[in-house]
Amino acid sequence: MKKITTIVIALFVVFAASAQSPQLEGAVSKLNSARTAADFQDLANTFQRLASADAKSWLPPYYAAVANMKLAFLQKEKAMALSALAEEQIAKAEALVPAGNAKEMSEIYTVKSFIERSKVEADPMTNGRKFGPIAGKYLAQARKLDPQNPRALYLDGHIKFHTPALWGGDKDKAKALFTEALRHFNEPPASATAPQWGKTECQQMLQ
Amino acid sequence: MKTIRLLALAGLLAHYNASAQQIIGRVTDKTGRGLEGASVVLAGTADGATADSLGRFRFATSAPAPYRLTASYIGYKPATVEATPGVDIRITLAIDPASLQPVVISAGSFSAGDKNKGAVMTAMDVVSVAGNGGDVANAARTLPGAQQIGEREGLFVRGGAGNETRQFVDGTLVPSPYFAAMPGLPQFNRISSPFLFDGIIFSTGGYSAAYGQGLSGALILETQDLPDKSSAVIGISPMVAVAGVQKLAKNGKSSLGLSTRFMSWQYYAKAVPQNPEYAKGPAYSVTEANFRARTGKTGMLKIYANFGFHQSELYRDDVDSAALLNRFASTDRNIYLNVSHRSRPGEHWRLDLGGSLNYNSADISRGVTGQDKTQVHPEGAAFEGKTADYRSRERSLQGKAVITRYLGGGHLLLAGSEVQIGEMDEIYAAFAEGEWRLHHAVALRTGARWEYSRLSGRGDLAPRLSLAVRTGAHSQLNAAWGMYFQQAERRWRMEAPILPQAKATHYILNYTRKENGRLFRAEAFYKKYDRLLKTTPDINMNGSGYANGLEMFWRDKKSVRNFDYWVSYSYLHTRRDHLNFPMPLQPDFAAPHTLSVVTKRTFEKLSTNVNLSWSLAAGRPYYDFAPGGAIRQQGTTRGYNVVNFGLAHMLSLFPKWKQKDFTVIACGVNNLLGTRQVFGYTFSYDGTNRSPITLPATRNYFIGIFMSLGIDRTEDYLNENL
Repeated sequence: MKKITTIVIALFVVFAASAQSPQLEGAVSKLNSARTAADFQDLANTFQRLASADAKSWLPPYYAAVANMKLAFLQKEKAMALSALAEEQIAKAEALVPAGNAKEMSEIYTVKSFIERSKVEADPMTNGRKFGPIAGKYLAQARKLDPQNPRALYLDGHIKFHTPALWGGDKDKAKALFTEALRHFNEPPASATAPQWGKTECQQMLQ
Repeated sequence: MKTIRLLALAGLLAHYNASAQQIIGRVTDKTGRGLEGASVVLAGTADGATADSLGRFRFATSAPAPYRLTASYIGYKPATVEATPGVDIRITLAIDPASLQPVVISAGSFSAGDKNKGAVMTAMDVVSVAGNGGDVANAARTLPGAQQIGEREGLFVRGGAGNETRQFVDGTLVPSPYFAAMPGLPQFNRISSPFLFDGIIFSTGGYSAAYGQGLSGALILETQDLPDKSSAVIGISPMVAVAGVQKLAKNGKSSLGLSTRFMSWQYYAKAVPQNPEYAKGPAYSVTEANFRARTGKTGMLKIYANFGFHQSELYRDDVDSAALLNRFASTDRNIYLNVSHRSRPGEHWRLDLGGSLNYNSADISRGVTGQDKTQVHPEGAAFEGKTADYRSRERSLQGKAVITRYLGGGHLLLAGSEVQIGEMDEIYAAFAEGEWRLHHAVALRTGARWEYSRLSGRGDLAPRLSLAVRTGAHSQLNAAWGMYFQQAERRWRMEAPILPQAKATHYILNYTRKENGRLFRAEAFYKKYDRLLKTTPDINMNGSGYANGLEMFWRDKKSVRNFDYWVSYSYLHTRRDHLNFPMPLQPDFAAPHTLSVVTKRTFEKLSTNVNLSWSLAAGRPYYDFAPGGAIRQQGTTRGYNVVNFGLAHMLSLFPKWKQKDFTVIACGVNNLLGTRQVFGYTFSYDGTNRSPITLPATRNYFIGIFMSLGIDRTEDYLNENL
C-alpha cells in the first residue's frame, strides 16, 4: 500500500507538472499571432507565471524574455525597463539550457541580440554606439551556433534592411536573408513549444 | 497510518478536482488609475491574469486556500495581498523609485555627450548645428542664455561680457582659448573641436564649486578616452586643409594622435570681397597631439598639446577721415598643454589630477595709412592711440587635484585644491562639495570654494548650493544659488595691480520636463554684480550691476521621423555700471530678446543631412561717450536676423578598400537671406561720424570634403537615422 501510495503521489506530481505543458503550448501558439502591446503584455505575464511555477525548464523564462523584448520594441518609452526585465529572464533561461545544446543556445543568443537592438531603437542617439555592437556580437554567436536559425536570419535581415546602403546595409541581401529565414520558418517546429515565433514579421518584410 | 495516508491522498485528489474558485479584483496606482497590463499571480501556482485597461482582472484557480495574490507591474513595487474567492480585491501599487530616472542637479546647465547624466544633446548634435564652424562654443550660442554676438569672440551669458564665461578642459581652466582678438571680428577658438570631447557642459550659472574664475558662465569640456580603433582623416576646402591620424596600440591600452589644420581666408576673400579688407589672412594653423593611456587597473592618463599660429592684416576705412585707412596686423603664437590623470585608488574613491600650461604671444601693430597703404602720422587728438605696436607674452601654469569619495546611498563628497600661476599673480584655491540624496526625489549639492590671491593677499569665499526635486516621473524643479569671483584681465591689473576680484551672485530657478525624446526647460534667474571693473575716472572695482530674465528651451526629436529641432528663447533685463559707463546702463552686448531655432533633417535614402538654424535678436544698445565721459549719442541697433544653412552628404568613395572610407561632402551658407546685420557703431572722435560694425561679408559660403579612414561611423550615422 505504501508503495502504491507513493506511486500515486508521484504520478500526481508528474501530472500536476505536465499540466503546465498545455498552458505553455497555448501561450506559444498565441505568441505566433500576437500583434498589439496588450497581447504581448498578457503573454509576458503568462510566461512569467509559468516560469515561476516551473524552475527547471528553460522555455518559460525564454518566452517571457521574448514577450518583454517585443514590448520593448513596441513601447519605446518603457524600452529600457522592459529590456532590463527581458535580460533578467533570458539569463535565467540560458542557465537552464542543457550543456552543449547549440540549437537552443542559438535561440538564447538571438533573443539577447534582439534585446540589445530594442535598446538601440528606443533611443538611437544615446544607445546606438553602446548597444549596437553588442547586438552584433550576440547575433554573430547565434548565427554560428545554428546557421539555419530563422529568427537569427530574420534579425540579420532586419538590421541589413534598416541600414543605409552606404553603411553596409543592403536591401537585396536583406531580402535574401528574409527569404532564407522564411524557408526555415516553414519547416515544422521540433515540438509545439519549441521556438517558432517570428514568421509573421518575416512574411510582412517580404511583402 | 495507512488510512491517514490514503485519506490525505484522497483529499488532495478531491481538491484538485474541486470546482475552480474565481479570483477577481483590480490593480491600481495610488491615484486609483487602473494599471493596464499588470500581472497578477497566485503565490505558488501558475494561475493568474493580466489586468485590463481598467486594471480589472479575473481568473479561476483550483489551488487550495489560503490565497496570496501578488501583483506586479513594470516601474512599480510588487505587492502581495490575501484574497478571498469571489470578493473584489483591490491591489494598490506604489511607484518603484529605483525605476525612475535619478534626480540630476541641473539648474543653469546644459550638458551634451554620453558622459553626462541628463544630457540635452550629443557631441554629434553640436557638430551639426548649421553655421557653427565646428566650434563647440559657437554651437552653444543656440542655447538659451547666450547672446548672438557676431563682432567678437566669447560666450556672452545673461548680461555678462564674453570674458565672464570661461572654458575648462579636463578640469582645468583654459586661460585664453581664443587667438588674440581682432577689432570688429569674432576670433577663432583653438581648443573647441567637438571631435575632441565627449562630455560638454554649458553652464549659464550656478555651477559647481570645482570651477572658479568665471563670473557668469562655464563651458566645461571633457576629452575622450581611448578611441575604439585607429583612424585617419583628411579634409580639404578652399579655406581649410585638415589631416590627422589616431593610432590605437595593439594591446588597446594606449593611443597616439596627431592632427593639423591650416586655414586661410585670404583666397576666399578674393572670391567674396570682405570688409575689412583682408590683406593677409586671417590665416591659422592649429596642430594638436594627444597621447592617452590606461595606467594600472583603473587609471587613465591623457596628454593633449595644441600649438596655434595666427596671422592677419586688415584694413578698414578710418572713421575720422575718409581719406585714411586703419591698419591692424597681428601675429599670434600659442601653446597649450593639458595633462590629466584619473584613477580609482579604492572601490569608493576617485582621484583626478590635472595640470596645464598655456603660453600666448601676440605681436600687434596698429596704424593709420593712406589709401595706398603707406603709413601716415596725421596730427590731432582724433588719431591719438591709433598708431601703436605692442607685444604681449603671457604664460600661465595650473595644477589641480580633486579627490572624490562615493558614500553609500548615492551621496558623494569631493574636495580639491588648485593653483593658477599667472604672469602677475598666483591664485590658490581650495574647494569642497557634497552631493546628497536626501530622498529618492531630492538631491542637494552644497559646496564652497575659497580663493586666495597672493598679490592682493586677499581671500574670497564662494558658497554654492544647488537643489533638485523630482516633481513627477519625468519632471524636476531645480534651484541654485552661488557666489562667483573673477580677477580682472591682466591689462587692467598691469595698471592697478591690487584689485579685488569681481563678484557676482546667482539665483536660479528651473523647471525641466524630459519625456520620450522631448525636452522642455524653463529657467528664471537673477544675477547681482557687487563688484565690477570701472576704468573711469580711475581703475577700480566699484562697478555694479544686475541681470534678470527668463529662458525657455524646447527640443523634440520624436514628433517627426528623421527630424530634430530645438527652440531657445531668452529674455534678459540688465543694467551695469562698468568700464567707462557714466551711470548704470544696458550694456552694448545685451539684447533683451533672443530666439534661436535649430533644425536638422535627415534624408536617409540620399544619405544627406540638411541643417538650418535661425537666430533672431532684438536690437542692442549703442553709446557714444564723449572724451569727458558724458553720453553724446545713444540708440538701439536694428535687430539681428540670421539664417544659416548647412548640407552634408555622406558617401564612400572607395567602398572596396579594406578600410572603407567615410566621406562627407559638406557645404553651407551663413546668413542665407542676406539680411544686413549691425552689431553697433564706431564713432568718430568728434561724434559727427559713425560707421557700423557689421559682418565682413553679407553671406559666408563654405564647401569642403572630409574623408575618414578606419573609423566606422556607421553607428553614429544609424543613430541619427533610426
